[in-house]
Amino acid sequence: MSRRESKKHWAIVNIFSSYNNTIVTATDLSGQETFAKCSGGMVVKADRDQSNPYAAMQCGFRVATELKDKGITGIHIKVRAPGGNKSQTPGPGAQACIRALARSGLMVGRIEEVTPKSHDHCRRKGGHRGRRV
Amino acid sequence: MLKIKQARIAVLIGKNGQTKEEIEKRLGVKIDLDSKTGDCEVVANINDVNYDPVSILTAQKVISAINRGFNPQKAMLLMDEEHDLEIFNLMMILGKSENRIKRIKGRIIGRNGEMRRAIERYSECLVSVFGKMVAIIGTYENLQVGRKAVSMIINGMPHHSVLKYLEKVYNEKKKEEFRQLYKPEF
Repeated sequence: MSRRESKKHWAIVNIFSSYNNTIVTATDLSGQETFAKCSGGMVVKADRDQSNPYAAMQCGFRVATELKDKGITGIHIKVRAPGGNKSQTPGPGAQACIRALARSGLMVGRIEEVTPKSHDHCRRKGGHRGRRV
Repeated sequence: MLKIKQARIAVLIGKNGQTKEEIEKRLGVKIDLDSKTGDCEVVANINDVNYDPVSILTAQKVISAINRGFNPQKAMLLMDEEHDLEIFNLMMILGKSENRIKRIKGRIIGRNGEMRRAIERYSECLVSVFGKMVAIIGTYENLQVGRKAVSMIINGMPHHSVLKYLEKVYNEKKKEEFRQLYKPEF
């Protein structure tokens, strides 16, 4: 126990946030070993609620408690939107999730945006006449 | 790193720097703004009382809302937790043709701003059409309605069917509120 208290243990929390879902994965600093993960679909019943801020908040709390059980004290956050030829800005869940992680008592180091941004990309799907509903 | 339009730099700074100061004070950040090129960067001010890990993202959102044509008072709404910002880039959706963008912008605004006002009233969002962008501010549920209405107009749906959709959603929302008020408690 004494070693755990004296030393700081860091983790990376990757947040992928789109219009349809929010996925949170916590890994070690190399990004290889997964400590904890949670997604919007795991906390709500209805499919249409997967991406809303409330579900993202619950995800954040779940991951935070699991991390604290494993003895981690600080986290770096990487936020990501779908990117490429899809939407470049993170969905509604991202902010709520970061807020939940910050309030859970973990130390927040850096927040980084890692959306894959293309300089020039393939044509968006949908065809010449656009998306017909 | 944000790029501010030349026309909006004065709005972001405000009279004697009031607006910029207020954003900095309320969020605990520092805004580096180059008024010649329009380059803008938000830096954390860790010693400040109001500083929060999220506040850099929030500040960027507020600044980009001002950049997209909202006045500072409306953009400040984004500082609370509920409101969110949505930006449509018309050039990405419609292509480079100036005439096409102009036509769609006119469709979103409507005659004397009728359509824009209707979207604002029924979905309880705030809509701004500026340059090649359309921006919406609203809470999560309201934003979904506003986003759908704007994308319907961009896709070429007639105005009256968009209005019908907005009216339907609005009535359903009002009915739901009414039902919750008179829910019997046991």
